[in-house]
Amino acid sequence: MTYADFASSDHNTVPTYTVDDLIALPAFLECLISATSNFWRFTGKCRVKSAMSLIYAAGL
Amino acid sequence: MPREVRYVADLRRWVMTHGALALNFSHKINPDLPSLTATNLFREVEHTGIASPNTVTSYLKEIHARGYITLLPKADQRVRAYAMTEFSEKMFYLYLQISLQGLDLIDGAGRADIASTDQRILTHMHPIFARRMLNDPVYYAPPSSIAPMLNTTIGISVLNEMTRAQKETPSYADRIYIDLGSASAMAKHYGVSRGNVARLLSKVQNAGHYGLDDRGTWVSGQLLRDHYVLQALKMAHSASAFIEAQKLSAEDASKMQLPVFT
Repeated sequence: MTYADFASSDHNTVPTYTVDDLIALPAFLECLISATSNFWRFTGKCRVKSAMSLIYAAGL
Repeated sequence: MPREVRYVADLRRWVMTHGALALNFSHKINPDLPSLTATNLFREVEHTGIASPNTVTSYLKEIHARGYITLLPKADQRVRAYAMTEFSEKMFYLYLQISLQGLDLIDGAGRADIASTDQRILTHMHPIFARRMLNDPVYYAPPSSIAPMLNTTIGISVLNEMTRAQKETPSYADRIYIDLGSASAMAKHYGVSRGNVARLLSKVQNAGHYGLDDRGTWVSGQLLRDHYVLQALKMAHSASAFIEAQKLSAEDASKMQLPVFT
């Protein structure tokens, strides 16, 4: 894809959300749990210390 | 407690860390923009009232000593300007990627895949995301139900444990019953003292947001709601920052005649 193609395409089809939108979605809780789980999965792949910092960062 | 945890685990350090990263990535994209110095970082976070100039200076010295930032060579030796190390940058690219994966679970828009093929998107995304968060009072001045958790290093992990351990669908009733591990188990899991966890739980209990009755351990509906609002804020700002970053990255690609990944 060239820049001209990209610029003329509707790349805003990726959705945005308000806080209220997200909280109302049944999948929101799953999304939060997944984020935490993904950080935990990461712990198996790198130094425990750096992984720990990411787990905490996921919360904030 | 692992030392890296200290730089992101409580709200004050989160604000300073993301303020520092926003300056770092902005300067990396455009070297004419302010670099990471104590003065610039204080300017970035001053409105939050969370850190004084001395706190910011000490924080930078501390993370420099730990190797998370390096000194930039500068003509003016009186100004200490820093850049994040590759390790620090990678850590926060991953942070952003995981939020994008979470959003993709909701709508399948494929943001994480797009960002993984073009890291420039994440470089553009961080300062946009961080500055929206840093300028949102809901974030830097959180409600009293969760503030004690966000202002201590271990608190956010305990909060995560509380909110993902619900025994029932969130109903925002006064009391939501949860399956929470003991203070000792959480202390062992997170590598902190049992006293730290117990003191925090006691503070939340005294404020009426956590307790134990004949049905088991509960947290208040207010605590749960406030936590979700805070997390939704992070996801909402991630979603909008991603779109803007994607456009900026495409503009970069056009200037440099690079391929565009969508």
